[in-house]
Amino acid sequence: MEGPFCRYGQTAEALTEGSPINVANLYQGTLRIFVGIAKKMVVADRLDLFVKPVFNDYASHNGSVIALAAVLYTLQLYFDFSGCMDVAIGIGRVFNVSVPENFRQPFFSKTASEFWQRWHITLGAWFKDYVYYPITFSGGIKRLTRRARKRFGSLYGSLLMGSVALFCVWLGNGLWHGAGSQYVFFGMYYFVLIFLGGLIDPAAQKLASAIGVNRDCAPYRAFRIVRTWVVVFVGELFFRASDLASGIAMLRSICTDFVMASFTDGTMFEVGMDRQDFLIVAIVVLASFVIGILKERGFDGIDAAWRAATPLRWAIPFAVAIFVIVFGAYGVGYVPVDPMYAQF
Amino acid sequence: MTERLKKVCKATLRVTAIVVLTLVLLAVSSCVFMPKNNQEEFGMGGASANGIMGEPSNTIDVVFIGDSETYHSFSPLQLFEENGFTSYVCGTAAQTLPFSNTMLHRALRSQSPTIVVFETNSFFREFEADEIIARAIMDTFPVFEYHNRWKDLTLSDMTSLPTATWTDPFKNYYLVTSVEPADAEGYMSPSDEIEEIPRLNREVIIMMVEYCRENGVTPVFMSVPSTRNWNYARHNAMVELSQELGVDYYDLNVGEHQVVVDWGTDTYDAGDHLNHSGATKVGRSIAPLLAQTYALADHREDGDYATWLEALERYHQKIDAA
Repeated sequence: MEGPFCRYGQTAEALTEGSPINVANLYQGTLRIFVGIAKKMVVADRLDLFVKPVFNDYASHNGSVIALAAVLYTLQLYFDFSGCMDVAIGIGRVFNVSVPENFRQPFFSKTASEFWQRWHITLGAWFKDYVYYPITFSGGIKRLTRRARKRFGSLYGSLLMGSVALFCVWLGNGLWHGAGSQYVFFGMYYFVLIFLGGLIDPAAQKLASAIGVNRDCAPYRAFRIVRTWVVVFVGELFFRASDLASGIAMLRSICTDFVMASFTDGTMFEVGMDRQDFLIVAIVVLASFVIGILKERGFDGIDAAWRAATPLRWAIPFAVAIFVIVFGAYGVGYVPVDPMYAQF
Repeated sequence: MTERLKKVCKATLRVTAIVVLTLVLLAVSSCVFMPKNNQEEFGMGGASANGIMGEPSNTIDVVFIGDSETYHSFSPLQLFEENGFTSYVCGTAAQTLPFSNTMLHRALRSQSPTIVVFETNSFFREFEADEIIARAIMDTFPVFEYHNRWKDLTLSDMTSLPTATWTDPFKNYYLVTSVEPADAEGYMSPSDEIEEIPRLNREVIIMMVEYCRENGVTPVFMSVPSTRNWNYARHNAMVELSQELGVDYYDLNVGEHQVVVDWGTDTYDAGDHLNHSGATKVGRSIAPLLAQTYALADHREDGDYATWLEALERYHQKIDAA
């Protein structure tokens, strides 16, 4: 089960309605499927060539290689998972069945909390509706919240009692992915970060205004985005590690054995991806970044393609298909990679 | 013309245009991405096995198809030396039957051999149904097989057409002289068991046998000696299948065609594959058998086959040096 998780009320009617397929939906759905396949086959499956050997044998690599593997694994997971979601949403579109979006440019998030509102959205919504709210609004917690507010003040009292529900959500989120210690740690990692974020934020706001930092200015926003990336990369390192001990050992290696020269002396090309592999990944990631910026501003690429002049409209899906056929990581020299989230 | 008919015509035209455009794009990109010669340097995978495409047309009498057992057991130059017929080994490592089918088609594109010998170890190697589809797509549009050549593409790939001018000097025989003895205890112990040949494998085998017959080629099944891969249950299965399909079957492990292999000296990997000593014994046994049974021509005195005599000389030099 990968997702997105459709609610009965959102989907049931369209599933049983049996709308006729029309050209616009067929085009937009097919293009979305092609884009999803491109994300998976060109980027995610190619990154596996680097990620898998490093995570399987991290002791043979220095901290720089492990750090890059953690970054690339995060990208791999995103391109794999969101690519599969694009395919699911595209298939739904072809048949005029609206399937909810599961990703909304997560790498533009400024906090860990925001990241999880943009990543695997439907799982987050499920936890919110079926774990967070029921716990928060249960009689016992409501009574305890009232007492905590009296004792610690309105803000910290609410935050403290909200953390009970938050703890359950993140423990559940960790266990959702598996019973391994790394998954429990992964859940607790985000629980602590999000809880601390809520705790510190009022003070941080005060500090920022006291020293005259505009929290909405572009450099500060960029700083917060990059900070979130680091948080996510570390979290995914533990998520991908074979167990908690391996995750800790890898993080230690990044901190104590980081060799800058490894990025320039060819070490990175010895793991499994050559220069051209890195180049093609970089091009697609950059293109996705630009498209992500446009999406943030309300631009819908699939819709724009459909509305383009006829020659361009038909050239786009052909170009994407040829791009996948030529640059896809399949065939001789590649091991097929199952959809990564299907195992959870 | 009614409105509805107009709509149907328009939709049909659109779909046809999309299909035609797709096929044209795939054909053109296949031309660009295909290796421009049948050598490794040009990006050809399994170049040694594909060396048959570089042999002069209609000069090969016997084609061997199968997995690594073939190129460790059949030495075409030895067979030529023994009985004068020409042969080529189209075997590749861990070959599955869909690829055997591809190799068969490639071989028969420019050759019209008298017989095609299918080594039977790969008959038992399982594969998924999608491999048949994938192979069919790759054979039709090679861009799917060679797409990764985008990394090495040059301008000449856009301007020249694929050709095949190269052939393996030893006709894809792998000369290995090292020895790792095998424990042959229990090897070919008589049994009534019959190992099941997977259904998909049977389908592809039948397809290949029919393709041979359609092209006037006699298919032959042959099991080379191997303590690791061969046993009586497989032998029984092959006897049954060969009778059902009316194909000659030679089991070199047991019975009247058994090759007496010394498992202490004739294998290089403990009975999995034969070494040169074992292959030589196989050659001495099957060369007269095939030559007589299928009336294979003797080209040793034929001037048109002078290159085979030159290749034989180099072959001996390599053996002496090994």
